[in-house]
Amino acid sequence: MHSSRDAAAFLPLKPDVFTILLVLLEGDAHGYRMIKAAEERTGRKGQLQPGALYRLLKQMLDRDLVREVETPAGQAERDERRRYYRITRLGRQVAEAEAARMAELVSLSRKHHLLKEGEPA
Amino acid sequence: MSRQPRSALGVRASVRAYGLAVRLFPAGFRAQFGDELAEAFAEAARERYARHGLRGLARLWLETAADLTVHAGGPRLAAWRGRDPGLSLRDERRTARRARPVIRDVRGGAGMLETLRQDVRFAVRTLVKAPGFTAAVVATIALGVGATTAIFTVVNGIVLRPLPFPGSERVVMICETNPRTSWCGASPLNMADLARESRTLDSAGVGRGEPLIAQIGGESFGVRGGIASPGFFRVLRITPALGRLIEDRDMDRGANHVAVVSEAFWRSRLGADPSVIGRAITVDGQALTIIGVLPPDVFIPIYSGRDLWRPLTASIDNVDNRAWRGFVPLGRIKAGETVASATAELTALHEQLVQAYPEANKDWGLRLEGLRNHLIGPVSRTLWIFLGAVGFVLLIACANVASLLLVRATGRAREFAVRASLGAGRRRLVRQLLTESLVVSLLGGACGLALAVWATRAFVSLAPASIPRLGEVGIDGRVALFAFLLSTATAVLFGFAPARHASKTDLSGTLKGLRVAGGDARLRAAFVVVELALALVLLVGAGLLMRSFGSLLAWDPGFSPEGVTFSFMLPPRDVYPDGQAVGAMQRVRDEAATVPGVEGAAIASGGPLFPGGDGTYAMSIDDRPPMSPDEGPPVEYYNIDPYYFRTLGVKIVRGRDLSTADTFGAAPVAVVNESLVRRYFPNEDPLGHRVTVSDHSAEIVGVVADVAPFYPDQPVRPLIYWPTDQFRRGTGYLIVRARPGVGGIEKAVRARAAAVDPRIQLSAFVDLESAVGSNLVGPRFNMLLVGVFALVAVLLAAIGVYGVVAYSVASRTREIGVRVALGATPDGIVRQVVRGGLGLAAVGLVVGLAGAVALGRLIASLLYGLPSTDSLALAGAAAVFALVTLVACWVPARRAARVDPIVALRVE
Repeated sequence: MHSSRDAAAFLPLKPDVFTILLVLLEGDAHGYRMIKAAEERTGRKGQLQPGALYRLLKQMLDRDLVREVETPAGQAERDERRRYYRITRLGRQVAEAEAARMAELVSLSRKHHLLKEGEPA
Repeated sequence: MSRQPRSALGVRASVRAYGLAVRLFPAGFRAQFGDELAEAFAEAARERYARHGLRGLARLWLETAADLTVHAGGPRLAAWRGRDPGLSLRDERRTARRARPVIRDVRGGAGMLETLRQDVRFAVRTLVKAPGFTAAVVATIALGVGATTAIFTVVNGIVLRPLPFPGSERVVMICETNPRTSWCGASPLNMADLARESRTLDSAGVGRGEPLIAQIGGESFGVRGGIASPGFFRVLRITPALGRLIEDRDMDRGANHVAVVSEAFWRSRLGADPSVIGRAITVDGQALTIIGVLPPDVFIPIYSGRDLWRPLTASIDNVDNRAWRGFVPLGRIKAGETVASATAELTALHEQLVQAYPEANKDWGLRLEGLRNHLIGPVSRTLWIFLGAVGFVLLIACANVASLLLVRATGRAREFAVRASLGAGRRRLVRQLLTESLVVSLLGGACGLALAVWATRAFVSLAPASIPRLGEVGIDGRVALFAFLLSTATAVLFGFAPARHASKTDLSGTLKGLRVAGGDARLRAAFVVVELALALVLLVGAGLLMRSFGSLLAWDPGFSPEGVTFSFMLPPRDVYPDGQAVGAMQRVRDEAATVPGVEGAAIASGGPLFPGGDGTYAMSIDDRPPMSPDEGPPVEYYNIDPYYFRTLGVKIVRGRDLSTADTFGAAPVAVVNESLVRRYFPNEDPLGHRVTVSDHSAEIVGVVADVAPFYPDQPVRPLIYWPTDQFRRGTGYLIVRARPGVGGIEKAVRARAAAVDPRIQLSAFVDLESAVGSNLVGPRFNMLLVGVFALVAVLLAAIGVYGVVAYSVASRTREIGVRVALGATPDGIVRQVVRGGLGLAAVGLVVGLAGAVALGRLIASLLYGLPSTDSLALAGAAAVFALVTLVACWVPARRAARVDPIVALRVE
């Protein structure tokens, strides 16, 4: 069982790491899906390259933020080279902690009138 | 990739290149994620291409080069330095930056990896901002690396890789040698004895190709077959796809009516029947039992593609069998033994065989040669020449790149001066510039690898079929590593000088706007001289090959080859024993001669450009004793019919032609060629003398003109022609001369032959002109390949010269303006600028010609007798070279002459 202190040790997260965790919160995903998500999030092509992605994934696997899962049924015959990843409990805690950190920044910004009331963060 | 089978070539090449680039990642990482990396890249490539075409792909590769540098190069570098902290998930960069002063001290502070990342990011940004420069450098490197990698792929596949069967490096050819022969063969009986007695050989055997005629279901057809001893297959470690191979028990008379067929034969002729073992098939009139099917990708040296193998049965009792050496002898040396130890043992054993069977083995020795060396030896030299030639192209490309980098670095002197004055150290600047050239080189290398994939395919499809192992040529890890090392070396070697140079710029001078260009100019001039010299060497090489090719094209056999076709005729031996085959062939000839459109038909045992003929040293004249080998070249003899000279158009120069009266039983006669007369009857009339070869003695009744050999470096052999009727054989060539433009000759002749006897086999008709053509394939390929290299080299070198001269004109605009203002004429300016460029060219010319003469010996083997110092080739190359450099100098010189002094002086 990881405590929230474990999760805090990862903060602040690299934006790409946070993106990967967010994608996985929506469900299991393969590498290219994460690359696309990073592009969509930043609106920039080539935001996350395969080399960078898999080095991050390796660290995240080593640190137990994500784990590999079996290819969902129906996807297997598409390409056996693809592997799917799932967020772990620790991964979820880290994502929550990062979100909380950001929320704190957002509320701080509101307080200083950097954002108008009701504007989405 | 099956989802988009029609994806474009660019995507496929990119995916393939990335698959190789994945090898740059550390092994453990690659094992874990290699496939996924490749898959993710493939997805990205397909999407980018679909949306943005080739531009999208180019952009992807630029990003990928950066990604690979940081994420593959970074960990490798860290591992090499002994500390790999891994990649942090924390956003340390962002946290760290907050604490830093506004102007960062780039010398300390940031870690090695962080600096590398910064350098790469900065390099990518600068390169994107200068698309013209980036494109020029990437294209040049891609061309150099691509061409070099393609040729390396071929060398790797053919020369470097072991032969495709287990333990191939221990397989040798066991050649019986004689001072008079150069080919490698051995007597099956000697080989059997050697294999039995030897303790250094694991296995040994012999094989030989033989045309066979098979009958299946009433259809009779020719088969490329072979005979072999069991050891032949054992040496090659062949495992049958079905049944078994030829074994010792198949060697006994009575048990030897068995056959092993190829997989292709099994599919095409036996309907891929899985229960084919035990089935009977008729071959050369005998019923054979099929005992095995070879695997589809079987490797059989020299006799590849043979469809049916029978056991070789040679009676030990017959001494002629021991003296028959027309077999390919293979041996496998035991593990732990060496070629040297096997040679020593086998030579001793062979010596005993010479003692035991002197009549068959006298004067014969033994030599071992590695099988791979035997197969690729002659070709490997050519391929190394190609690799050398393409290496020159690469060097020229690199010199151009270095030149470009230098100009760019000079142009950015101000930027560097500013950075230096803000505290950037010299090492930091050099590293920045090196990173730039590394990124751009890797990108060029990746494009080059993609280019190589394509170029290799082109090479394989265009190369002459006589090159062995072409099918095995392909890009593998070694090739990818080669391309990677090549591009890295390019970056470091050719990026270093410009980088060092730029970092040395004088700070205050540059900031004040003064130009400091002296050293640059000298360095660039040196690059250009090297380029020009290398290009000239290639030009000379191409010129020599062109000249040599021209001499082959000019082959004049002394008659017109137009309309002449030939076909090998094989009357079945059991139906026409001994001399009766001659009669059958004559009937076919007579029928063929009456086909409409046929001007003449003849029979011969061989002829110009089609195989055949026998050679001997054992000729004797009149009653003189037979000549010894050192008395002259071997004498060849053909047997021909009275229509042969007439049909081909060879002139009788003295005496008479053979006639139909020269039949079996009539007085034996012979016709000789002029070479034989020149050699053996220099001062006398040969007519009336007798020549004797292997107990066949005949009177010379006529002399015919020499037929010039196809390759000019080969001498015309002394030649004797006997009448087919008096020197009988069971086979022969049917030669047909048809009126040009008449079609359907083969079909009509075959029909007539079938009417004579359907059992007489005629091989596919070959026309003499296409035989000439197929002999030109190799030389033409050599010429075109080296020609293309030379062309590219000259273009690149011309660009180099142009660049240097144009740059010097641009940097001297002010000076030229002053000169014009002081009264210099435009012609004078042009002359001065051109003189500067031609000065470089002159140095390049001298160095290049010296190099060409020095290296010329290397390509002498491709020149068919043309000396490598052929003055026409040298002069031609020098002329092309002079013309090209003149143009390359003249274009910028004209621009200089148009300098308006007022504008020029206002520039600063």
